[in-house]
Amino acid sequence: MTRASWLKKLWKGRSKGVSSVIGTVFLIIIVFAISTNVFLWTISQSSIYNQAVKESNQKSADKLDENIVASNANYSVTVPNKVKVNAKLTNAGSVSAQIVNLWVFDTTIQRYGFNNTIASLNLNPGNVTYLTDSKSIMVTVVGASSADNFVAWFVTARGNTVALQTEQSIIVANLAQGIGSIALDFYAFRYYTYNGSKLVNYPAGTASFNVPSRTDVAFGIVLTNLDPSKQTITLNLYSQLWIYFPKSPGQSFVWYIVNVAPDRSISPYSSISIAYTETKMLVFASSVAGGFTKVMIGSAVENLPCALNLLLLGTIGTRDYGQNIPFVSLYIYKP
Amino acid sequence: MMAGTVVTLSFVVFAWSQNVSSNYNYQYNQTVGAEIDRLKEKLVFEYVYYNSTSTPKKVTVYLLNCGAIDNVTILNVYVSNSSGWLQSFSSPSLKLLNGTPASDQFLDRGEERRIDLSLSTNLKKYAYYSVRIVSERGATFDSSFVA
Repeated sequence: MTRASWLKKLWKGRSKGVSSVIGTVFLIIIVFAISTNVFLWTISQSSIYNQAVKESNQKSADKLDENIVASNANYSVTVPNKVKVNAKLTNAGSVSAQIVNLWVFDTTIQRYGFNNTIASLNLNPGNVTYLTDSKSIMVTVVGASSADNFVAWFVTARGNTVALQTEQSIIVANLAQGIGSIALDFYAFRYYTYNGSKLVNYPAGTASFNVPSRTDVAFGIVLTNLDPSKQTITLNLYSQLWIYFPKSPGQSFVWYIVNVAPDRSISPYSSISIAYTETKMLVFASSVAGGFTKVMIGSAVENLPCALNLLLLGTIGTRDYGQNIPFVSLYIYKP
Repeated sequence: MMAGTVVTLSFVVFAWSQNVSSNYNYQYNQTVGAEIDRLKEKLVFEYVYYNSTSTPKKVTVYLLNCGAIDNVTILNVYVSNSSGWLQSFSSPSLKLLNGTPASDQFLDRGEERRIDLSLSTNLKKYAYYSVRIVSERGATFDSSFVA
């Protein structure tokens, strides 16, 4: 039967068996359309799910790649109930990292605190950040004191925790000849000259062991409290820097401890404390204790070497404190 | 006449099957969507602290949502030891880290929250315990602590 005759037969109503064909064709179309629809939909959903799995795996991989090293940690309590945390943060991983929280646990009193308001502590790979001075992080731990033991950890935005490695414990050689509680930073020794009543180039000064005579000078000494009993040291107004000349017996000069205002001018001594592990630069400038009179090294000792001693007096915790720190030698030159 | 009926019926069947497949697709879509959301959820335990001096004894859990999805809701929290569940907590209240009530009861991305769990029994000193958190989307997160 040709196509034309089949249509003619259908038109004339003699369509025996044609409906079965139509039904079958429709059935096939329906089955094909539905299965294609479901299949394609399933494929698309599967692809969406796979994408989500990939993203999740990528996040997990990034989390594993994150490698923050927190070292040189030390803890001090300079303000009641506030633990000051100093540390060095290094991003040793291959992905950038963001610090969102710092936890401190005082193991001595079994109390803890956190600071989750750390601003802009983001590190690219290779970045090193020193959390010292104004960048130190303060954490509130009620009842904490410098003598307590602490552990701490950072939390990153990816959810990693980074334990702080404590600064290597104090060994006897860190201290001045193994005696006393304060260490002097030999390489940070400096002296200052004056411009009127103000120190020149403060706080950097002149880092040298050759000091001019016939000039008013003051000295900057960097000290760290490494007291094994972890107590705060308060220096009194009699703390002084003293130089003497072996080749010119009887010649000596003294500079008493002073305070320096932000405008680099000298003000007489007012209470100076150094908390455990705290490093502070102290200025010695006055020939009188508790006041301020400039000191000049006279011409009689020009071109002579001298020994420098730091005579520190005050209190450590509730006890009296006195320490004599030597080590620095100076040469007085004629300017 | 018969052919017309078959054609009409075929269209009806076609429409019905389309509807059925759409429903299936919708349900499948919902299931996949829920799975994806669950996959995106990630909570980390910043700290788990057992307070043995408080009355009642309390476990405080500090959480951070470091996942890729907002609105993480805590459905259940379980505290257990090696021999099984000790106590479960249904929909515990989420607080800010400092202990003040939070304005909502879910964790958005990057948010930190705290849960205080009051225990009905004392935990054994220095024993090892686990905490499991189950979110409303069905994700589970585990941590542990020493009492």
